[in-house]
Amino acid sequence: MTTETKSYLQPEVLSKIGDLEFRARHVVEGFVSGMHRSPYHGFSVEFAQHKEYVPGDDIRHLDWRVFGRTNRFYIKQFEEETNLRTHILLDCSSSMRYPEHDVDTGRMTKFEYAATLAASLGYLLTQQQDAVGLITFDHEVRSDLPPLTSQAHLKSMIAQIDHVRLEKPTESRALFTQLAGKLHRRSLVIVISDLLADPKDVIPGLERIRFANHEVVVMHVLDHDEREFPFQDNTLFEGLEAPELQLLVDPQSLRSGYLEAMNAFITKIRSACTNSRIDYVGLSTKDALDVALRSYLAARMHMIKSRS
Amino acid sequence: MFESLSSFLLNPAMAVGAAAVASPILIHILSKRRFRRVRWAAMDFLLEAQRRNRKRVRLEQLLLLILRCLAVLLIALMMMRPFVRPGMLATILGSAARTERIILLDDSYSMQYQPTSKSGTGDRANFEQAKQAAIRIARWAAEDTPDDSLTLFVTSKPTEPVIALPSLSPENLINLEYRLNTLQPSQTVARMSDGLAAMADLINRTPTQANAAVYVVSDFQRHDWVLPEDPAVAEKPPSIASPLGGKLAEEESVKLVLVNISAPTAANTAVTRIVSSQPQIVAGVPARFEISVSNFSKKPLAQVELSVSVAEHRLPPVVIPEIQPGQTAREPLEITFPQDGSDYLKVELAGAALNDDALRLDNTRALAVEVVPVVRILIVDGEASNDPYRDEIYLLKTALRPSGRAASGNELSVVDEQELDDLELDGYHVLIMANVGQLSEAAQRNVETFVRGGGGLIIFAGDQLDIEHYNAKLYQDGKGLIPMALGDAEQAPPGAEAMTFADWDAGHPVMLAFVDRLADVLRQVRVFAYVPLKTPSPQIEKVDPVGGLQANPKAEAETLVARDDDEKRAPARIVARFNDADESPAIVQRRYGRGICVFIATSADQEWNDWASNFSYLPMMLELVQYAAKPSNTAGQTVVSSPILCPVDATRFKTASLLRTPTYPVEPEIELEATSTENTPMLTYNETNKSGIYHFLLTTTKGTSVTRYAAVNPDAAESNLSQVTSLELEQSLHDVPFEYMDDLSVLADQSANARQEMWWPLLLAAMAVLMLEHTLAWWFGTRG
Repeated sequence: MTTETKSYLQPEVLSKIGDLEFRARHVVEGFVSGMHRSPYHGFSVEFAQHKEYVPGDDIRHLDWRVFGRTNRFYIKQFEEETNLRTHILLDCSSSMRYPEHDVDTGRMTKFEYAATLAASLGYLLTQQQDAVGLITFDHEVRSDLPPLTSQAHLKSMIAQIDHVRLEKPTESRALFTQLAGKLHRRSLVIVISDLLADPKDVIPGLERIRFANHEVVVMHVLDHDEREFPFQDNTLFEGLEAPELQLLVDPQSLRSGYLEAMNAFITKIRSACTNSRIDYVGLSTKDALDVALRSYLAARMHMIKSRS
Repeated sequence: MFESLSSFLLNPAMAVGAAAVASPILIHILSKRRFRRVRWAAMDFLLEAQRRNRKRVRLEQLLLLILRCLAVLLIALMMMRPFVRPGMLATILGSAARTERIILLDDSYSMQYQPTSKSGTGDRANFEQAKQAAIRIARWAAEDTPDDSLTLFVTSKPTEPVIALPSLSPENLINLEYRLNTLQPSQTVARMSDGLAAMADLINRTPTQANAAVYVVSDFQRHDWVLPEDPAVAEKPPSIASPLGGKLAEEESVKLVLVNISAPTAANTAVTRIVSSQPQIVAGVPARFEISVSNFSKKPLAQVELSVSVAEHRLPPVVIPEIQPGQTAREPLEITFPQDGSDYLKVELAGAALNDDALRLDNTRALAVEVVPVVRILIVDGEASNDPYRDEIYLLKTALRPSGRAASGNELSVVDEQELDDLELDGYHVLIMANVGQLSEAAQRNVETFVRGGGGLIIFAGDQLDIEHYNAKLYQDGKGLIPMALGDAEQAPPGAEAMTFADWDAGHPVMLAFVDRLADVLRQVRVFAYVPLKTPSPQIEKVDPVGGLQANPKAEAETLVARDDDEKRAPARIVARFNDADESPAIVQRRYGRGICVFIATSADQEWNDWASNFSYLPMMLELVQYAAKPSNTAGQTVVSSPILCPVDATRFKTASLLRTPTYPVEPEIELEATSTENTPMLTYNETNKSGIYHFLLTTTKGTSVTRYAAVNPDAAESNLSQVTSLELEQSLHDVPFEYMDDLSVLADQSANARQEMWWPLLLAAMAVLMLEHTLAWWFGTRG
């Protein structure tokens, strides 16, 4: 990652998702006018449409001017908006290195995938005038780019990603707790990680952020190999985060046991997220990023629209 | 290794292919060494899976490995082309590589045994069964390995093959069958040890690379196979098959198969022995014989009738009331031969006893006897006198010839010791020295030669005995004539009770008569003086009770050849003792050369005793003379295949003679020429393969013809048909591996398909194993 600046902003990805919006599902607090619903009145109110009055509507919003012209009661509806503060939490622990390039070229590593994801989201959010910040972490926060809206900010964000070194293991619980304390204002927190740590640590960490009233989206990036375990021949598995762990096995014999454990892990994370009203997005590096992202965003938008 | 494998593999060299069984293991190990290295993030899950799966995975892997090995093994086995032979056939035929097959057929006379209809299954004589067995073995071998050579021997001639087939072609099989059909059982004994030794010799002479299989087809009589146990020898003696043993142990290429063809129930009665109870048979004097009849069956026999004939003249039959199973009845027989010369006695089982008897040959037994006109006795009178009461030997002479020659059969000559120097003793049977003071050296040599040559010497003590001379010259520390060293003569103290005979060896032939009243009579003899005999050491006597009479026909046959065992001193035997405090020996005897010396510690006349007044004197003296008499120098009987001998007095007869075998006139007379031995020219005939009476026709120098008889009998040992059990066989042939077949007929039906190849089921099995391996591997894979 140090050798060459990857184009984490891939045009094909961006073009696929360019017509989409990343909107907050929950109420977020913004200070510039934006597309997101604000809990506060009177600021950055934009007219949206008129609606015929029905008894029970707040008469404060009656448009007397229309009434004067047409003698009918119309309610003036506003889009109450705020701008969105988004923190992208990008996991740069050493486990994200998989699959290493010396092993299998031509495939994205988890980190590359995650970084592209982060950049694309940053681009998207910047385009819609939302503030995006980037926090990279392994067992501690490596870099913290506070949310800003400028285009230049996106560049510095990508530069930040470029400087990431994937060397240290994850330590999610303390880290997330620390981050939750750090993020004062309510914001959208997008966690991009493989979450390969003890779920007992990961889940409370995520919950801690969620309970600080942030909206949390977990983008669970796993390699296809990790999801499917397609190995055939005898393999010596060496721990990415703990190189002292080595295991020489016939992978076929372990496949079912591994998948069982992996699926249990995923299920556990997913159900914990659902319980805490955290958006969980399972991603595989094999999936085309644009397709995956687009389908998620579209589903999310649809969800938000149908709710409002 | 291949030899042993080849017993069930056509292609044993492919056994090397079995090494391919290592290939799956090798692949397994190599694949463990070849692996990809993956740096892996989700180690925890892997470790967990590994922890949960390890045992199962190991098991599965092992199972797969075993299946793969099994598959390879099965394929290798298939390439080796294994085959099976039904049942015992395999153990009979043995190795499949080129084998030299040797059949040793027992043709001893017990093989003539014909089971009676109620006992036997086949109702065929044992020998017929044996022939069948031999043909069967040959046919099986021909089916199996037609290139093998086969040689057939019989036990009576283990060195000459009956027929030798270079291969087992159909023509050769027909030849074999034809040859077997002409084969008849001999009358000899099966000498298995000789037979097996000859086989071993034969195998050793032939090229070593060929395998050999020796089939012994026999009725497995116990005596053929089980050596008598000698408790004194702790270690087992080498078994009779031990000549083969070395070969067997060495390279396992020789196979020994014992085939028992006889019916299990074997009843037989046999005349097992005729023995003359005395060394000389005198014309006109009743001669005693003992006939032994053995019952080898499991039932008691009653009223066993024996028909007895002398030459062709029938005597009244003898009936033995009962013989218990396994027992031998000894029947005394007294026959008076009217004339001197050669004669023979024949005893034959007759009557009801024959009903159950399936082996006829041993029902007849013959004994050739040389009837002498008189027993010639030479008495050396130590104290001659014209007064009969003072003469040392008057009473003795009277006792030995009670009433003329005819009744006693004794002819007496009397000399004094000086005449002994150059007297020709050869014509005498017994020499009696009564109270002889000294012997000159010439006389001593003369007497020694006489006794060594078989003559009997009886010495009576007396007051003239020069004790020192006797001890120095005649005893010679045990090397001389007399059995024991002498002490100075002892007189019973005056007034004291006279001594008498107290204790005697009741089993001694001389003392046999002294039982009941006659024993009491003997105890009334009063002895006043005697020469004490010094018992040399505690370990005396224990000679066989019949005292070297014609006990053993074989031993007797040897007497003519060599019994000159001066080196081996026979122990002295005390026949009777006095009743003094020391229980001094009264009558002592010892063998010397082929003859015997009897020493009587008291006098022949009444100087030292009153024996002559006693009833016992006369029978005792007659018995003594009979006992000590020089035995006839012709063999009364031999067993089949032992040589028969006939001494020819060159002064009377021409050395050329004719021999009529028992088969005469079917077989012509055989011309024999006497060969000279150290003493007399001897007619020898070795081919006595038929039992019966052999006639030597001698021609005197004057041209008249004289017939001498020799009796050849079947060996009594062969009459006992009891079979060796497989356990006994196992113990007896402890040093040799062998196969033992009881019943070959079981295999008869299976002979059609001697060999079945196994490749088809093996192929199926290999396929099945491979498919199973694949399925399992797939299943484990999907699960794992």
